[in-house]
Amino acid sequence: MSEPLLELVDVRAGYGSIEVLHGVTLTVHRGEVLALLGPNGGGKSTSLNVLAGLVDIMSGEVRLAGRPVTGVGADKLARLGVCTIPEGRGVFPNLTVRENLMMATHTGAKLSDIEAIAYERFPRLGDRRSQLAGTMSGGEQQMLAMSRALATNPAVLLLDELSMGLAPLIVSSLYEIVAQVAETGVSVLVVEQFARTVLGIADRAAIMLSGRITRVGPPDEIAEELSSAYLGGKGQP
Amino acid sequence: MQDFLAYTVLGLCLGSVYAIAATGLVVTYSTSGVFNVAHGAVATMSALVYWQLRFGWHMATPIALVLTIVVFAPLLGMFLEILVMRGLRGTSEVTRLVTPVAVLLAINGAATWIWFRKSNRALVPQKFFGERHINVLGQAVYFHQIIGVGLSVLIAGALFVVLYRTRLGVTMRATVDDRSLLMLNGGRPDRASLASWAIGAALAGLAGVLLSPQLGALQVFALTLLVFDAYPAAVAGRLRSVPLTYVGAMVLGLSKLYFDWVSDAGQRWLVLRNLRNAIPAVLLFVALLLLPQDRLRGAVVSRTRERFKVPTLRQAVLWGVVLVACVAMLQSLMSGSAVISLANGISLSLLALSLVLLTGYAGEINLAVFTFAGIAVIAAWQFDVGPTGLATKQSLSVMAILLAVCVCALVGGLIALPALRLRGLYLGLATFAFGIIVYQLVILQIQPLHFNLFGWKFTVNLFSTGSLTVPRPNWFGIDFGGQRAFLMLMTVMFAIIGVGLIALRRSAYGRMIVAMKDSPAACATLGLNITRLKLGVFMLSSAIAGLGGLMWAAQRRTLPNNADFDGFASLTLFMIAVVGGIGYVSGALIAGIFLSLLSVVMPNIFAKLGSDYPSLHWLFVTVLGNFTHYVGPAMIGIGLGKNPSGIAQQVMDGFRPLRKAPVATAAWVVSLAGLWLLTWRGVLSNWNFALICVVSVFLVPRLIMSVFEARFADEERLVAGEDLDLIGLERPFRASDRQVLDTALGLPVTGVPHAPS
Ligand SMILES: Nc1ncnc2c1ncn2[C@@H]1O[C@H](COP(=O)(O)OP(=O)(O)O)[C@@H](O)[C@H]1O
Ligand SMILES: [Mg+2]
Repeated sequence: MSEPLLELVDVRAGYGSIEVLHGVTLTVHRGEVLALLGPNGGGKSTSLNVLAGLVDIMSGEVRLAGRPVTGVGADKLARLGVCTIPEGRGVFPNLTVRENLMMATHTGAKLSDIEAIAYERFPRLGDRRSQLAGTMSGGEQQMLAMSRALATNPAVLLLDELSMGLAPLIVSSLYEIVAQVAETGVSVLVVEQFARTVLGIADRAAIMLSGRITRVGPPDEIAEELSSAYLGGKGQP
Repeated sequence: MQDFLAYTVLGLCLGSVYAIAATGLVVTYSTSGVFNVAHGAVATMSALVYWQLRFGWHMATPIALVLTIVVFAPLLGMFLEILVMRGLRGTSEVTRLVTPVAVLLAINGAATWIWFRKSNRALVPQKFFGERHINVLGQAVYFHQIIGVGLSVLIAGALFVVLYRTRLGVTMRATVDDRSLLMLNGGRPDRASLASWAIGAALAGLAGVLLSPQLGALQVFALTLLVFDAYPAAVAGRLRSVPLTYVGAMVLGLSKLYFDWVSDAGQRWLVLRNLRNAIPAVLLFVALLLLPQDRLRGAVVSRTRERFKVPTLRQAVLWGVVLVACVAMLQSLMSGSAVISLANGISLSLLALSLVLLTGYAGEINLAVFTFAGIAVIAAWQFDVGPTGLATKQSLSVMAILLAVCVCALVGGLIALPALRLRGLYLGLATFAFGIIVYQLVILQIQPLHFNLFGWKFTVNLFSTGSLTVPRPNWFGIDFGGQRAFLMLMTVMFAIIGVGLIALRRSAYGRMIVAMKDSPAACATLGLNITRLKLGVFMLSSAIAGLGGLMWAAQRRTLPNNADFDGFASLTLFMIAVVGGIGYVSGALIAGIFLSLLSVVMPNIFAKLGSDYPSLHWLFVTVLGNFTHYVGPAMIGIGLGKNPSGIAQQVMDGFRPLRKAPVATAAWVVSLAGLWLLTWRGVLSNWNFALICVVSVFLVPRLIMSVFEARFADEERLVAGEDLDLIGLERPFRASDRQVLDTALGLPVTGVPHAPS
């Protein structure tokens, strides 16, 4: 595997005085798809938000391409090429589809080009370009979020529970696109609770329990361990 | 017909200026989620700055205009955004309403301080191009008005392009939608809010400059109210849509001018003479009720920083007794004027109690508390004094009080009925509008109203002489006419109502009220009748406001109709009550006393210091005295974002150590009582006693804390009775809490604290 692109080094983080991540070390390499799995409340979203710059860390370090980016704001990281689709709400509900896409123009890309690519990939969006994003179905919203994310030509893509509340068919087509994007050399971190579908496109996978990474390895090995992680036993005090 | 057309033209001219003012509000709200009540104050300040540059310092009009609209107003807007509005993130709707109110009062206070401190100066602004005009259908349309129309059209176009076609504008709108998502997309929400506040303030400034010649001479609060007139237009646009806001503004302008037309400029029906001034409030009320509430932001249940604890009934009674005893002891030492200040404060505290129930417990808003005071006074006065004139009775009778309280409860219910579906900001605006309507049509009503009900003819005098005299009670053979006796009566009333409120809050009814505040939707699914609950709370709270208002009026004795009812007093009281701690009865007490102290006592103290130390006169009087008088109360309100639960809670937390050391506490109380006795006998001077009291209040809890440190080690363990749900929110989560939680949940106690290794 090539050099590390985005790293968490012994990170402790949480909300207020409550610590959620108890020393997490995790590396996303250049061009790989890393799946982060684990039960609800384990701290997956928190880890992802730390990487995205939304949650401040208490100790440890975050590195982007080898350089420390601890404490750098989310907007700056986004401009450096770290693109995030957060959990459950990837769109601005009171903006139209077009205006949502406009938010990707900070890279200097032209809106018309972004629109053209997005509507070609998801023709459904093209029909709804003047509709408020909040009034669209969950699948369409996720398509919009994905189009906007890809339009920024990110170096890293952070995806939090893309599959939440979506029909399996849409989920697999979304992940197909993720796989295509990864082919082009973009590093991807996918966070999921259950979906074994994601293991199909992952290069590596990690399991997170109670704020700790308990296992990192090839997807097929992780798949076997998943069930035991969910059925308790391991990691439970 | 020609008249009709001419008035239409004039109405559209007026509407254009309203449109400019209202779009400013829409821009800030739709991009920062804060309804900037202070918009009117920014307009006022800008109009004054423009006057200073243009007429005070005789600059050329374009230069003065650019300096005001392009430089001063945007800077003021950005200043407010950075200093105040940023702190409002994550606070409740009430805080987000109150803080701009405080800003409004602060700006207006500063304006008064700068321009109107000396005497009633007449600052007369002139129209652009003076009196030059063209004739349209026989009516003069001034160049000034034409410029207003032109600017409003330009602004409409420019705003549309900026908000919907540029990345900055879309970013501004995205900021309210989802701040963190915006950042994840490389947007910079701080810059976007800054830009939106600058634009909003510039529009306010422009509206202020355009509207100001209407007044003749500039007056701070009158001009602010004039800009308030534009608020219904913003509500018509649901605080979001610029085109609808323009429509609303035109309707507003036209209604005013059509009223002029049909009523012969108010001369035709004298009783309705003030209707013109009430039209915006009426339209505001109607707009709030009729418009569909799209995704009411106010209705979203959000996790906020406010937390209110409820004392037990025993504690409440104890504190009630302590309060009465303290006031009794204090007043015996105080001079006559100090007693008046204290009594003023307690009377305001009584009024503020109605807000504890309504806002603190039930989460509803009433921005017209003083209106209920006015209604109560009118009702009691009809009963006690009758239509014949001056106060003929020596005592405020119990019957009159009951009548006033009932009338207030009824009016409160009537207001609540249409407003039932409104919450938060919209409810606040509706009650404010109600206050203005009553002020203009009832309280300013000097015409006697003649009625003929089925042959029974009677006349009702409202404020026919411009002021009403309210006698103080004389009950059970006790004359409460004296200031000290009346102070004690009000204190006892406060204690009784306060204990009653706490009992109510602890009852099943109280829990329903709080549940309604937290989530109306969840309540409805549980089968609670929200409508009845809300109505009940409103009526009860209005009744308390009526009673408090009557006492407040009796404290004042003579009540002129032009002060306290124009909305600003209600806003101030609401603000200070929130600062005091709206969820606590003690918060209401603090609020009332604060309000009375800050505006009167503090400046007096500084004046005395100034005359004692003439060399420092400038510092004490010119700076500190004026500051506390003009902007002091508002500054405290602005600090609210930092401590949204209010002062009361801080005070209570400060006294917590006392509970652990009852003997030391008792010793402290007894020694204070002893000192009081010495002072009363004249051995100790009042000032020294006051000094000792204040110092000991700050020192003793800390002293006890350090002496009995061992006992507070216990605090490390979860205090019995502490609210389990709030662990980790009010103080950091401790490893030992886990055991307590396990026990409480009936889980086997592991014994091994689950501490991060
Ligand atoms: N905004 C927040 N404030 C306080 N605690 C939070 C917040 N978000 C998540 N948590 C807590 O952090 C823990 C981990 O949550 P999260 O990272 O969302 O887990 P996951 O994504 O694995 O389900 C949970 O116990 C959750 O309650
Ligand atoms: Mg999650």
